[in-house]
Amino acid sequence: LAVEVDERILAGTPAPEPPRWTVHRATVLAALATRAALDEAGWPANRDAIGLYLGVGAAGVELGEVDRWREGGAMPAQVTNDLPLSFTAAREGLGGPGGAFLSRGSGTVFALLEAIHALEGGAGESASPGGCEKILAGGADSTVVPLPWDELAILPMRPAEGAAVLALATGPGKRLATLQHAAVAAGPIDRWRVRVVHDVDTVIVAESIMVLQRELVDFATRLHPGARIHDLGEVLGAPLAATPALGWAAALDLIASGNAWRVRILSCGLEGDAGDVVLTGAET
Amino acid sequence: VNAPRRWAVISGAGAVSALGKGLSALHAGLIAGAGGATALSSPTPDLAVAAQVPVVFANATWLRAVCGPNLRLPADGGVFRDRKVAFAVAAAFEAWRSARCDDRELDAWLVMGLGLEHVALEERNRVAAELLPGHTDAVSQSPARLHTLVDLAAVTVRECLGLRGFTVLRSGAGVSGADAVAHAAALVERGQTDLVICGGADAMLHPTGLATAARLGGFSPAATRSACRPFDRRRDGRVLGEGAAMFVVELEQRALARGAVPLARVSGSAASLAIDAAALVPRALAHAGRSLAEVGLVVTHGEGSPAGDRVEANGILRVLGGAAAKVPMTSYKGAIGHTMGAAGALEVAAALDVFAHDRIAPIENLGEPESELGLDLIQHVPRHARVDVIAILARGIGSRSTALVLERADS
Repeated sequence: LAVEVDERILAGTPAPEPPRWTVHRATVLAALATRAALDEAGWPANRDAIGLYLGVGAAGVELGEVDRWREGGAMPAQVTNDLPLSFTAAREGLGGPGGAFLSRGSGTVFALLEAIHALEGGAGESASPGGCEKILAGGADSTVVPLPWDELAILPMRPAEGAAVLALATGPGKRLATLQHAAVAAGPIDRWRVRVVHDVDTVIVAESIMVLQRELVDFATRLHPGARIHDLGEVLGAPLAATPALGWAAALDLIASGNAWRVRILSCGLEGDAGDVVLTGAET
Repeated sequence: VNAPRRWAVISGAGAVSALGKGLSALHAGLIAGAGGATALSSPTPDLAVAAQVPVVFANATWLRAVCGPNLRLPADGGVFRDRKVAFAVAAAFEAWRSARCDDRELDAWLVMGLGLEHVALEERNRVAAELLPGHTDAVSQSPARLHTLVDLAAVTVRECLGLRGFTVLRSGAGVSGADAVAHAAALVERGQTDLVICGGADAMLHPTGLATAARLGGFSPAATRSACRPFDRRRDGRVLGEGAAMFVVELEQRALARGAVPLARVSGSAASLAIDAAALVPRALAHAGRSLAEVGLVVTHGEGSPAGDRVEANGILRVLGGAAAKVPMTSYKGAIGHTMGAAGALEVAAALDVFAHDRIAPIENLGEPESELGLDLIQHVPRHARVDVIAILARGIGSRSTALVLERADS
C-alpha cells in the first residue's frame, strides 16, 4: 500500500527541456507546489530575486526507464537529488538564493532554517546583508517509485509522496500566518529540548516511521496538554522529505479555516532529529 | 547588535585527488603541473580519459594504510564498494588530525556536499541474500536498487570519526562542496555550533557514472593527459575527475585555544539559483566586509568547456570591469578534472596553498590563452604573490552558483 498523488493532479505538468532527464515524480510535485505557492502569494512575474530552499529525497527513476536501460536503450538520468530544486527554479525563473538539502525528514527543516536566515539577512551563504524579501521553502519527495523504495522496504513505513512549499516574506502585506519559531532538536524523542511556546492550541505530529508515532504523540501531549493533536503520518504515510512541509501546509490550512490559531508542527524523520515549527494566525 | 563577529576559520584540511592522497600532494602536484587525465580502464565511446585518484582499491585496507591504526573503520567493509566513501573518510580523517581534534570535539556537526548520486543495476536476489538475509520478501520486485545509500559517505565519515552532532547534506552536484563549506561557516558565524566537519566527495568513474556523464554531454573527446584546457583557445570540454576534500571549520577562538593553526578564514559567501557565480562576488565580499579592490585571486570554476569558460569570463569582466586584467585568475580543473560533488571543496583545499606559501598554481594545460577573454590567467609556472583575499566561484548543473571568500587567517 502506498499513499500516491492522484494522477489527475500530475497531468499536464511540463517535461523539462532539453528532454534528457527523467523527471522523477518528486520533481513534478515540487514544481506543482511551488507554482501554487507563487500563485497564492501573488508574487510578481519578475522573480529574479526570489529564492527557493527545498528538502529533497533520494530521487529515483520509473521502472519503465529501468527496463529500457536494461535492454540497452535510452539511458535514464542518473539520480540527481536536487532536480526538484533546479528544475523548479528554472521553470519559475527564480534567481534568488537557494539550496537543496537531502532529507528523510530533518533536512527539510534545515532548508526552512536557511530560508528564514536568507529573509533575515544574517550571515551565511544564503543571503546578502539586508536580506532577501521573498523566499520559498518546503520539501518534495516520492518513495513510491522503485529505487528509493528498495532501500526503505525493510523499515516500518508506508511509501508515499507529496510536496509542500511555503511562500515566506517579511514586512507588511497579506499573510496566512506568522512563522513564529523554527528549530531542530537532536536525540531520542523523550530527550528533545524544545522552546517553551505558550497558547498552542493545536499540535501536528509528522513522523515517517510508524514506530515513532506513539512516542511523538505522547511527547506532543506532554508538551501541550489540552491541545488538539493531529497525526499527519497516519493520513499521509511517509513522504520523507515532504513530511515536515506537508505538516506546515496542514497547519496553515487549519489556521486559515479558523480551526486553529497557534499550531506547533513536530516532525521526525529517519534521521531521528526533530523539526519544531510554530505558526500563528493573525491577531484578532 | 554590536557583538564582535564570530569568525569561522578552516583549522584542518584533507584531500584526495588525482594528484594523490593528502593536502600536500594536492598542493605540490598543482605547483609542479603533475596533474591531468589518464586513460580509463573501461572507456566509453564518449569518455576515454579522466582525472583518476591513483589508487586501484579504495577500501578499508587502503584507509588503514593512509590513515594509520587509529581510524575507526565500520564493521561492514562493503560500504567501500563506492570509492567516494573511502575518499571522504581519508580526507575527513586528515582534516580532523591536522586540526588537532580529539574526543572533546565529537559534538561537531557534519555538513557534506553530495554529487550526482547513481543507481546501478544489481540482481535482486543477490542483493536480497547479501543485505537482507531472511527478509527477501521485503524487497520489491524491482530489478534495480540504489548502488549505495545516497549519503553513505556522510554516514561513514560520521561513524569513523564518532561524530554526535547534526548531519546536514547539501545536494547540488558542482556547487555542493562549496555550499557545504559556506554552510559550515555560516553555522559557526551564527552561533549554532562552534565546530563543523564539512566538504564534499564524489567518484563517478564507474559504468553508470560514465554513462550519465556521456548523457550530460560537454566532455572533451580528447584522449590525452591535457584533455581539459580551461580558458585555452583549443579547449573542447570538461574532464571527469574524482576525489574528496574535507575541512574542520570552527570558531576562530576555539581553534586557537586548542593550539590549532587556522589555515584561512571563510569570511564571505553567497549562493543563487542563477548560473552566474561571478555576479555573487560583490555580495560575498559585502558579507566578508571586503571590497572588490582587495581581491588578490579569483579561483574560477574554469572547467574547459568552450561556452562555459566564455560565459564565466564575461561574468567576471562584468563584475571586475577593467580590474579583471589585473587580478590573477586560476583554475584547478586542468589538473584534477571536474570532481562534481567534491569540486567546490577541492578548490577551497587547493586555494589554501596560496596563503601558506604565497604562490598561485598555474592553470594546467593552458598553452594558448584565449586573449579575447581579457583575464589575467596564470600560465605555465606558479606566480609568487602575497594574497590576502581569494574569491572562489562554483557552478552546478541546473543553474546553481556559489561564491566563497577566503582570507588570510591573520588578516
